Amino acid sequence: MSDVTIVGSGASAVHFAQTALERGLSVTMVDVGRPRPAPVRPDDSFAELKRTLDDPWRYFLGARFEGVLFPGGKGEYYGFPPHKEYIFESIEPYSVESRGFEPLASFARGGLAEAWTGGSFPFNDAELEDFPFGYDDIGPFYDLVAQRIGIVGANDDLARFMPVHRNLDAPLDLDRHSTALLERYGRVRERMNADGAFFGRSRAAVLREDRDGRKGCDYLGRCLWTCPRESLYTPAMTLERLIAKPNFRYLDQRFVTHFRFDGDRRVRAIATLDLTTNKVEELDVERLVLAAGTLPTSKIFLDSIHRANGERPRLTGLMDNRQTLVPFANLKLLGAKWDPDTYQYHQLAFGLAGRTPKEYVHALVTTLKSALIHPIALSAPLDLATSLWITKNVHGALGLVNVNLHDTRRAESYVELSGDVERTKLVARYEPAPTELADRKRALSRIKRALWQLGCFVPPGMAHVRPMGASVHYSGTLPMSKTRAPLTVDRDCRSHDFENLWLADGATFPFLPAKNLTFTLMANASRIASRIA
Amino acid sequence: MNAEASILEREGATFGRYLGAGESSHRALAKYREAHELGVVVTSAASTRFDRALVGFARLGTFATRLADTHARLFRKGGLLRRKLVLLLAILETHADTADRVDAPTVGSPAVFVVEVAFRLIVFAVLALVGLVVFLPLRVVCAFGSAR
Repeated sequence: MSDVTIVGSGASAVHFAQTALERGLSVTMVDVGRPRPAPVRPDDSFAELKRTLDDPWRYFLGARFEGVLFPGGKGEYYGFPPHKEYIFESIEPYSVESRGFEPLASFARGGLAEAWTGGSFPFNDAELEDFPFGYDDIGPFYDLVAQRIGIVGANDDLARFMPVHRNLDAPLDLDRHSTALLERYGRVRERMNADGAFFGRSRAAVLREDRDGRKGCDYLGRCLWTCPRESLYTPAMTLERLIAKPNFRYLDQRFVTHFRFDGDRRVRAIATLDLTTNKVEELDVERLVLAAGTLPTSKIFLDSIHRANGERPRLTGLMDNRQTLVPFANLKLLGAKWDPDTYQYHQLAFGLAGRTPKEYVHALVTTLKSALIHPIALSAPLDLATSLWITKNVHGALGLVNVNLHDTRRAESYVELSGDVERTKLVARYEPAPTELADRKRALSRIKRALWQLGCFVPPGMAHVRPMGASVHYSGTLPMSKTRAPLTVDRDCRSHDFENLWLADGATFPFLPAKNLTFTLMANASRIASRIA
Repeated sequence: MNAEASILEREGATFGRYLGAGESSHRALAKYREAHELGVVVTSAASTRFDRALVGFARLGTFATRLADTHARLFRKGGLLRRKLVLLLAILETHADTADRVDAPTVGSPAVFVVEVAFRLIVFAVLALVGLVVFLPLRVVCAFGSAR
């Protein structure tokens, strides 16, 4: 039996495992673990692939043209390309029913963060106010994770919202459009700052230089299509390196249904469904760490209680960041050429000061470079030839702002079980905060104003409010609590209900700032692993 | 190649010229045909009698395609013609032979862009009016035919 058994292989799981191994513990990781396809022509750029691949259509559009966004289709622009669908493929035993929420789950090696755009934004003390620890406690683990995975960024105007941790590498080279935006900001900075709007370099988990078998970014323009050089970090990279370590055992093709505990509420074993044989097996555990992601972790937790005593507690406080996508055009760049060989994801970000520090609004700015344009062309209210002509002439001027709002734990948003014991479903209900609509409108208005000051125009009616669940920043169902209470965990994320159970993912977050939480998930998992080791 | 495949390739070639991609390659047209054979283009909701008539009209040439597409964008934006055109655009933009033709800027400055957009919007408005005259009777006929 290993010292620690971890369920899941996502961002939290692999960094918990790495820290535990570094502290001398043995680790077993249990996971479904769908592998990612091998990289295709890793040295070719996005544009070159159109020439060098035998069948570029299959790569870009899929074998059944599932990458084509037809009129009236449900896909989003910047939706995931066909070969990334393995990340979100569900499995039959896992079932979620939802209202007001469109949840995604991943059973891929590396979990949901395989689709991460690399945004790495540490929480500050104000955002950690509801956590039972402050920045001083988690700061060293931001430093540690930054050293492990490589994070680029700058100490600029956004540092007032994001602490500058150690091991922050110099940012990547900017594309032409992003350069123009940043130069313009230099000229209107005082005016924007007076309005509470700040602008600067985004921070991303990407390498500038070769490191640990990964290559530095070569600006292939393939970030969304899975970086073939492993410059853009995903947890599967850490997992691959962990698998080579002697004290680490990886059991894939196993879906964990629940854990079994004794009368002293000590976890004894986990039940796993072997997806190759369809047989259920038990695996004894010494310490159990649930790091499968907020929703799967919640389901395992609830199923375990339900099977033991028939109870069906409700886990309140489900959170996610509401996101609004705001397309814009830079008026000075109409008709300009665009850079085909550039970093594809966000290089810049807005920070909007809130009425209180916790109400900070974070917005990532992605300029349009290498991308498929048919989804843009079809959205214009014109015939396709005219739309296409406009699209290709504004391509170099286009960008997208992803506006994120914070979220709080509320009783109306929760998860619970339904169905009979052998075939339960997780029910997820999400009710927006009463102020959400007003907050969203205010944020949108401020972003439009800031964009205008940067010389950019937002086409009317084009902002798109993403459904709740789309940001995949799920959290809050089994929160850290300063006081001992059922269905909570302590400051080390050790369950108050089961003495040898730790929760290492977003389920434990008592507050969700307007920032991508992945970096904090990894730092927090490392922090708690260092404390049980 | 059977007659249906031949029609699809001619249709693809016409639509490709309409989209400004010039002559589409044989492989691109074969891919266009393949998508039809896989059944991803023709859906029951997108393929009414009127949709099929609109596609038939659009096959007549690039001007006919523009007229039909203008009408379709206003009144049948999820219909068969739009689905075919979007599919073909996706195919053209993902191969090096045609990617630049559909996704490289053709104007040099914001001022030229604004003037040309204005001109194209006027053309669109005119074609929308002409399309009403041409296609509304066709729509009525198709609806009447369906009812029978």
